[in-house]
Amino acid sequence: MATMNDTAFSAVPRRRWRRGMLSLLGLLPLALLLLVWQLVQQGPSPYFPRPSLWADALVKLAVTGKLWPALWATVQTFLESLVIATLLGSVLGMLIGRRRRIAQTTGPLFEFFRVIPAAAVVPVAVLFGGYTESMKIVVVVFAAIWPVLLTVQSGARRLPAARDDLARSMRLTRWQAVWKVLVPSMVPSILLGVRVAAPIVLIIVLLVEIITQVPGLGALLASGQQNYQAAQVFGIVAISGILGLLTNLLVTAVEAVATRYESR
Amino acid sequence: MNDAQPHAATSTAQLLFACRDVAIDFAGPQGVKTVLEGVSFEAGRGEFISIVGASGTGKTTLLRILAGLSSPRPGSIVEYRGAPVQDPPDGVVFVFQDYRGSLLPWRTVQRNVTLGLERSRLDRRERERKAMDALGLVGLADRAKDHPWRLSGGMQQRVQIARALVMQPQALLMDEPFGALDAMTKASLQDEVLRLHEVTHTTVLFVTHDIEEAVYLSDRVIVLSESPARITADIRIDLPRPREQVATRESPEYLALRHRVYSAMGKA
Amino acid sequence: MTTARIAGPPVLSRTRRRRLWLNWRGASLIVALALLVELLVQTRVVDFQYVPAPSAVIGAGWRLLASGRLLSDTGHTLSAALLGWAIGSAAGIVLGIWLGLSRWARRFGLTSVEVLRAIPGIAFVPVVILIFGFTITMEVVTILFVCVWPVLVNAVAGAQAVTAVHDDVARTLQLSRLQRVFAITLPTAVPYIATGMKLGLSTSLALAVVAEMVGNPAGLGYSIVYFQGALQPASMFAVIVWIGLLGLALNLLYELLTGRLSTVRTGLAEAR
Repeated sequence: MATMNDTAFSAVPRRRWRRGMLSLLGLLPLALLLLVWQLVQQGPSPYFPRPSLWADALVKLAVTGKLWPALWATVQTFLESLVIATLLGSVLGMLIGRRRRIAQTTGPLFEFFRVIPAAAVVPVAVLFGGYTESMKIVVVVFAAIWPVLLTVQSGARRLPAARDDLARSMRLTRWQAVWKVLVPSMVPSILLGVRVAAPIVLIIVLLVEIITQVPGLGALLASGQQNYQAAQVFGIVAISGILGLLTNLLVTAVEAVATRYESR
Repeated sequence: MNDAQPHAATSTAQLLFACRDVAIDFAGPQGVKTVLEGVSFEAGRGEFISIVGASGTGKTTLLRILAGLSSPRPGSIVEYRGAPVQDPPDGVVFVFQDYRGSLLPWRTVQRNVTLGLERSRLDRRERERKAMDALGLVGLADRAKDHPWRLSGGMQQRVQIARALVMQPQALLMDEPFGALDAMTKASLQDEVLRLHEVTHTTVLFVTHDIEEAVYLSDRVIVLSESPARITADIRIDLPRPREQVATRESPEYLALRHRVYSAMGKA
Repeated sequence: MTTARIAGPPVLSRTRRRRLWLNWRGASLIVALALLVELLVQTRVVDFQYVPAPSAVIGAGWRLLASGRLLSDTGHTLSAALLGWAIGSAAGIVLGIWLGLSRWARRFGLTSVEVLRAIPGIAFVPVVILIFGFTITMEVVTILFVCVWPVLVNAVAGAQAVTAVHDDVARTLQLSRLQRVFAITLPTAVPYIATGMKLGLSTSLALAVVAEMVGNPAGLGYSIVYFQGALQPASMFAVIVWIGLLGLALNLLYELLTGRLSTVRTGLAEAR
């Protein structure tokens, strides 16, 4: 007679691999590609230099003092722009979300601005601001403000009416109502906006640097391309990829904070 | 007569399903739970068998095991026409409780019914003809070109039944098919199933929590106990056919059988 | 009898009348702003050297349109964008469905996808310029490479969105693997894929413009840079506005084509 002890749990899912192992296995195709590339591409190549050459190029950039300042410039712009875009977008989003008339009025204009590719805005910004860091930030903020604005706006619109009643019944001043009730309620939407905006910010920062060659990683990419330094270009692309992964990590962390906040 | 004794089918040639010592375990947050234990019974051709039991006892699980949709513990013997059941066997079709979820919303009613036929060698016109026949059987031929979301719950369930019937199965496994329907629709669908059973002679295994329904429809009622579920009773329903909603349900034989089923459930 | 509704396209009642609703407030804001800038520039209250009057922008735009330059540029940019978008989407659908269906493919490939996806698409522009030079192929390849990801990710989600019931239905009706993919997986994934493709569409236009600004001297992107260098801000702004309108039109067209006909809204007008 079958007993509990000699059962194989047929309806139980098979034992899973540990999460870390699982992720690393998934890198196999990429690792394989790089390995094959490294082995096949023996000599110097104008188009497809092998990975070890990328490393050489990066080292050279570091040694000649070009790499770190560029990296720092990009990261700095990224952080500054993200903060500004979040603040501006949240404030505007809250204002607009609370008043349907304002949302209706500004709707078409913002929709139009939203659709303009950031690249098209760059020449305009250059005309006004020259090739400066602040010009970079203006362009990035202009492009990245919309996701924050939209998510905060829709979050503000969906705020339960009870919140307003609560503020009134407690006889809170306008200022208190905003800081003690409105803003904390908006935090999940703001965090969601940051989640969506962060990758966009990174992309636009690089974009502006590529187009204008204002100091940054993008400028290194552009100059590498113009000087036919393929290894340098690939190397910087790899670094951009690492930045992208870090941005994703940031986004995941933000999400974790957001969900913890929500369950309170 | 001892209700706990399983009924053998009339002869092995007429045997469709045979289970011996069927058991199954599920891993849950509270550890491993044995849902079925030592379930054994046989189903013969053309029989209409209801499986009843309190909610969550494993009736659906047992039906899914017979349909080849779930795997029991090794050592369980589940046979369809003499061969062990591993994947859904040819000739067995399952009718789902969630009719809304089981129909494909992007297909018309007719195309939903032809879904199972698309594997066969029939050409499109043949498939459409068979689908219309099946829809005619359930009285929905005029809705063939509609999409499922235009139909009422009862109609959607009939579409699902038509989809099963068009495969001309030897066994129809129905999982609480009328549980979510209102009383009037339920009654009319019950009679429809009885009529279809009479016309097609398909073996029907019918899971329900509604004792009245079970006794009204079946030739046999199998009662499952609480987890780990075993068969506590296998009651032969020898009410005359054709059955009728009012007359049959008021007859003393019906009431007596109903009483027996209730007691068998109380024993669990 | 109650009518049960499965999720599906909205039921259009037979007695619908289409009414057009115009967003007067929104339109007037745009007009008011344009008038304000016009006034400021004409009266020289604001004297940035490079702020053209809106009237000048419209005039320049009209001239560009009339001379055919705007349209030929648009043709170039759009064809590059749409071609890259189409190829990228097709690749994304195939790869995404495959990944969504195959546990092994996911286990041995998903992380690679995530890593490649994390590389900012813009970073590929210089690489592709190096390899393909200043050609339209360069534009298409860049766009292709970037448009794959939103479609792929959505296709994976779509393939995995098949409900347990539909899965069981496929098993009990004994559908073959191929049938299962075409009859159940793909239809389930379609709305997800459509979302991904819409994202890819706007990305493709933006990327085409970038590629033309730094690489291929042709199309709308190049025109912007050209007019900037030639110190013709009115024409430059005209092209930029035109690109914005193009983006709106593309989105609108996409919504119409994917059958969301019942309410088409642009913010300015709504067909109810």
